[in-house]
Amino acid sequence: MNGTLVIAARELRANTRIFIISAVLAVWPFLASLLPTARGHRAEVIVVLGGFLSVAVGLGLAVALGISTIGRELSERRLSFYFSKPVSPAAIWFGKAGAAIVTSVLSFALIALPTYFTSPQTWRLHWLGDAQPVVVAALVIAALFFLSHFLSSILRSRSAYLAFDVIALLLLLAGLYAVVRPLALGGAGDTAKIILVSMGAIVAGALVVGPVWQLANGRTDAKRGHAALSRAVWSILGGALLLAGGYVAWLISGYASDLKDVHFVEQPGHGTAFLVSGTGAGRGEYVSTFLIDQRKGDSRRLSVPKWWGGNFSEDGTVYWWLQPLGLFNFTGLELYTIPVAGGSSVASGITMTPNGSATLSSDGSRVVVVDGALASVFDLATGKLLASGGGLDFRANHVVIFLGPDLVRIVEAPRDARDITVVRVYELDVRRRTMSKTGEGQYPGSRGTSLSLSGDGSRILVRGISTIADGRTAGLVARLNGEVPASSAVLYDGTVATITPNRPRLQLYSRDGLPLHDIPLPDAERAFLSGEIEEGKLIVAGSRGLPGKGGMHWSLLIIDVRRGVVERVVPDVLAPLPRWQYGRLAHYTADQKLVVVDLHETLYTLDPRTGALQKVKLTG
Amino acid sequence: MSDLALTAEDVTVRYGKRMAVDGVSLSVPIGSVYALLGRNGAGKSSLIRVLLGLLRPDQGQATLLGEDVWRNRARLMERTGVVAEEADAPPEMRLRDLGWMSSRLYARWQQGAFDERLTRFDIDSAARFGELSKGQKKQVALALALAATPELILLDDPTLGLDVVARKSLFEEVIADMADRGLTVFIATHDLGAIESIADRVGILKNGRLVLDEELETLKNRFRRIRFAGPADTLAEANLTVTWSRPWGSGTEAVATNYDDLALDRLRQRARTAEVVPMSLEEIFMAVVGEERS
Repeated sequence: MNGTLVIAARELRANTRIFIISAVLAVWPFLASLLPTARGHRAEVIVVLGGFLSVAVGLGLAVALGISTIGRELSERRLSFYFSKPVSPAAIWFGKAGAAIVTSVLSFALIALPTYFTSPQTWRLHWLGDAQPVVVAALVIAALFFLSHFLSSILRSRSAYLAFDVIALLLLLAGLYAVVRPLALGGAGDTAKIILVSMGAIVAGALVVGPVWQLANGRTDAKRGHAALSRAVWSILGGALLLAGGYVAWLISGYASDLKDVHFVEQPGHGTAFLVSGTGAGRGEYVSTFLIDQRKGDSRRLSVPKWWGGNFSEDGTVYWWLQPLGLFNFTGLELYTIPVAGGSSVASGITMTPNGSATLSSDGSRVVVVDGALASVFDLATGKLLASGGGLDFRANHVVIFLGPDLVRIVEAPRDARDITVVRVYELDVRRRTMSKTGEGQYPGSRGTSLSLSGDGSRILVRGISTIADGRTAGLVARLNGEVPASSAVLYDGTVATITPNRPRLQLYSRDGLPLHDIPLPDAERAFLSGEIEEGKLIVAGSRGLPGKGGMHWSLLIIDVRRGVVERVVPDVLAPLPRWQYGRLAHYTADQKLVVVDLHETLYTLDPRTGALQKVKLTG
Repeated sequence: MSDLALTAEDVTVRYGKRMAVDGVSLSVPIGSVYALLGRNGAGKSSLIRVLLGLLRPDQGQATLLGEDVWRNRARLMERTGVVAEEADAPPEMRLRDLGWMSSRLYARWQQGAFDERLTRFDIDSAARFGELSKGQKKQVALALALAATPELILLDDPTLGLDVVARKSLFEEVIADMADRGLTVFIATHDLGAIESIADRVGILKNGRLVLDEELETLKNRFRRIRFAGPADTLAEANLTVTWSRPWGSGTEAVATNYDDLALDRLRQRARTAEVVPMSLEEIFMAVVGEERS
């Protein structure tokens, strides 16, 4: 018989009284069920009382034995008895720990199992469902035992090493936070869970094997034992955290050229930059986001995808996005910016609640934050509040446009519209620091309150009810007839474009609602408006087929709005996403090349004038 | 194979800023009895904890039976018996269970020897360890240690608190094993009278330092209490080194540490009368640790 078993056997023999007491307690639920008040609920009384008693005894013993195993012998100076025997520290620890856990689990089982077998169905109803009670109890008991032992060992020693433990714990938590946060923000929740579960298992492992070091290096000295235990536990956890940190650092440090699944591409109305988000080869579900220059192909990594909002400024000089302030305390968002021409990202210090939204001025120097009932204009470079005004409906959809550097128009349409959709327009004068309502319109219908604005803010399209309103007064301009469109928008010059949901057709209306063109969209079962190009070109993304069998096939269509014809169809590429953040489509310059994705998730530039595709060469 | 059962090389133990053992080096040949003496707090128990592999020295190294005890403690305990200062078996354990446990752990365990010693000590094997008197606990600890047939036994103040009869029987057991099997004994004790008859070598710890480490016979030959008619300077003139000297009537009384017959001749040439008295181990200890002063 080896040392571990000899010591375990000795400990179990010493715990005989505990088993006797547990056996006596096991009778109590059955005695209680004989009481007159238990009549009619006999099974419930047995199961509930047995459950409470077994849990209390099992967990109580786990904690008590965790505290006293080794610790009590150290304080009573009796541990040298074992060290004067030919047994290893591992045998002493595992013999004692094993016996303590077996004692706790057996005591639990002695009380719980008779009540379980009396009525398994009632037990499952009240306790643990279909889980095996003894297995669950054994896991919880073991965890409690090892944790109690660790805490008891570091507290009993009254050593200054306790300060080290506290610092190490704080560092571990901070490290875990640092490791998990980018994963959670990057949509790699499953990877974060795996890392947390693995760390939990490693914590458990460290608490199980750490005491071997405690005994091997501290032996009968409580302070030295504490130091050895702490060093072992924190070294294991520190090493594991470093590994996890290294893995996460690798995971989030992928290159744009590694992207194998592009989630979206976004492009400003000026310049050669574009943003791409997606998952990289071998990097799980972590979503990487890159700001790329389509000419050079060099990329800069952004820390967070635009889950919470983000976009380019109209002139394409600044990209901004919102990022949560915390991970577990997810109560606010902070606005980050990065200059497109080069440089690092900057936390602006401008914060808002998760319901808030942000809109940049066309040159990217100012931002309007609409949060709750308040609209505020900030200078982005300094974070200084320039003006603010209240009175907005916090339940409404808001679309904001800078009419000039010092004048902001805010259009709102409450989300809880029933029979009537209300549209209100406000203007915030930054110089005068005043906000005034400039108009309100009420329209029958309530099929969604998503808004679209023309480039100069003079026209509003209430998309769900196909109503064109004046941009300043919200007064009715026109109501469009026909079925509710699948996609609709006011174009930059006020022209209204809608796409019918079935057998998609593009219908174009003048800024006053007069029908202009009705254009069938070839080779498309579904379509949505993607963007527009100056000089009257509209980009439509078409699709046919469905994901899965046969696959989904995208196409990009360029429409000449003035002539009302499909000018070009580019097959097998997905057009850039529309920029609903600003309530309007992206408006590209005539000489801009569009960034598109093909079926193989490869990025191309498309010259809309010639239809020529050129693969984007990514250098990073 | 080394003929040393136990060694300490420059062993140093500190508890915070306090130096408990200060650079102690000693060695014990196989089959000998080494008595470690010292006042309370001199560092005896700390040194024994190091020798048993219970405490890692801040400096130096200890070996048992030729092996580093810190590294190979578990293996060495198979060959080493221990009687701790405070008998430390679990109090709820019955003596027969202690025997059962030891029988599973020691390859050379002799259950008969254990039972016989309990019988000799008049202790019931059904008794729980915690129920025994202090003396009985020590006897049980010794019975456990010897029944494992050790090559070396370390005893930390084994007779502390024992009556004369218990003390005598305890030493008799050790002496019997020494005689039968050539057992090596390392004993830290205050019982100087008892150890004087069995120790081969004596070490004296004072404030953590080993101030004396010598064969007992040599030690007793060179230590003498001397009384003579004359001034204390006479001792130096006779080339005698003393631990202390004091006036004794019109003469001087002193303890000489390098006494021999020639030195006595030199002294008698200078002093009219000189009385030389052999010293017991207890008297030598008192002189060395400075309790007997001028």
